[in-house]
Order: sequence, then C-alpha cells, then structure tokens
Amino acid sequence: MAPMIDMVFLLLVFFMCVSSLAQAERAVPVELPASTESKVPEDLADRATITLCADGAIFLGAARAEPGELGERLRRTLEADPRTRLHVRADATVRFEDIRRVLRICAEAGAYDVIYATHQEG
Amino acid sequence: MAIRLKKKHQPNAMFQIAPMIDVVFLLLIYFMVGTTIHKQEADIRFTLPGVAPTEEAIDFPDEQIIEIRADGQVVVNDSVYDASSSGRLVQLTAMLTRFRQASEASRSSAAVTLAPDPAVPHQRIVRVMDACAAAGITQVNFALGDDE
Repeated sequence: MAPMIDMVFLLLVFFMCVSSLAQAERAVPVELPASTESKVPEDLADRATITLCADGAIFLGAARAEPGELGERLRRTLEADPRTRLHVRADATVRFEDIRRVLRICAEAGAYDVIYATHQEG
Repeated sequence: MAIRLKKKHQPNAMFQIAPMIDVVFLLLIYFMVGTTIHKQEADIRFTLPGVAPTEEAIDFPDEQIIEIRADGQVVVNDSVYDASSSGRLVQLTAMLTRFRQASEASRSSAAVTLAPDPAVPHQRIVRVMDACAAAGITQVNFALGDDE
C-alpha cells in the first residue's frame, strides 16, 4: 500500500509541475488592470502572449522583443497556426499609444482576434 | 524483560495511516494557500480592424464611437458620460444597454469602436470595455488611426 501511495504522490506532483510549466510562457510579471466583466478562460490553447511592461518593454512569450521584429515573429507564428489568438498582457499604467503601436503591428501581421488579460474584481 | 525487548525490535508490518494523513493535509493546505496567493488571470476580448478583402456583402452594424479623453472622461456623440474618476461607468453602461436594445429591435448588431487618447492608461480602457460587456455588446473594436 505505502509504495503505491508514494508513486501516486510522485505522479501528482509531476503533473502539477508540468501543468504549471506549460503556462510559464506568461511568466513575465506585470500589474494587470482590474476588470469586473472578464472571465477566467477554460481554453488556453492557440495563444501568442505579448506582454507590455510599465517601463515600455515588450515580450513575445517569455523573450524580449523589439517593435521592429515583433511583426515578423507574429507573422511566422500565424503561418504555423492560423488559429492563433493574441493574448495581450499590458500593465495597468501603460499608455494607449504604446498598446496601439503593438495592436497595429498585430493587425498588419494578420491577427485580429485579441484578448486582454485582466484580474477579476467585484 | 527479554520478551519485551524482542517485541520492541520487531518491525511494524502495520501500515501507518496517521502520518500519511498529516502529510496529505500539509500538502493540501500548501497548495490551497499557493493557489489563492497566485491571482488568476481573466480574459476580455475584442477584435482589430481587418484589412482582409471580403467578397460577400457585409451587414453594416450599428456603430457607436466611444472617445476616451486623456483625463479619462468618456465621450459619446459629444456628450460626456462618466466623470474621469468613476470606477464603474454606470451612465455609459445604461446608454450602451439602450443602444444594444435599439439595435436588436431593428435587427442589426450593435458594435462599438473605442477611440482612446494616446495618453489614456490601460486601466481606463479596460473599464470602458467592462461597460460594453456589461451592456451585452460583444463587438468591440479599436480605432488605431495614425500617429499624430
């Protein structure tokens, strides 16, 4: 009995670690805006995550990206998987002009389905 | 005495359930605390203006343009709806709900285009998108315009 429980816990911990690693792409820490109407998603597939930090840095996935190369990298991602949705994680204090620059690059790259990440409140 | 010692050295073949329960509860509490500290991220969706050519005729939806000024004021059709400091945009939500109902009555879909000032913080835009979602409008778009 005892070795079986050992194995079960080992498997449990293993899968917990794997599932948290699968979401590690969104790991760049930002202070997301609060929202009352947003929903926690069930479907996390087909997402390209763009993070905009308060200091103006842009990340595609976990890697730093310059605005110039962002479009090209997004286009390649979309070619590989046309269903890709953009997941924009912008800091609550980021000004619209910085977000607009990224949104325009996205529109030019052909990504129209965009999701803002927020924290739920209320 | 000798018998007692012998008994002491016998390996306990019984399965000890109490320490296991201790450990299980410890793990349970650890992960419960861990998940509550880690705030979950939620989604709010919109679409970007497309440049894709369309062959079919398009249903032109009813559209409202919501302007957000640099100080956070929300302006639709030249009238200001909520003060720049208000968190929940009650007046805007009420207006958008009426707009959606009017669109539904005329069998077209209600669409909203956001035109924020370049200096508007992201939080304010999300508040306006909240108001749209609360009013039941699903087609939210951004006017990307040109850099001035």
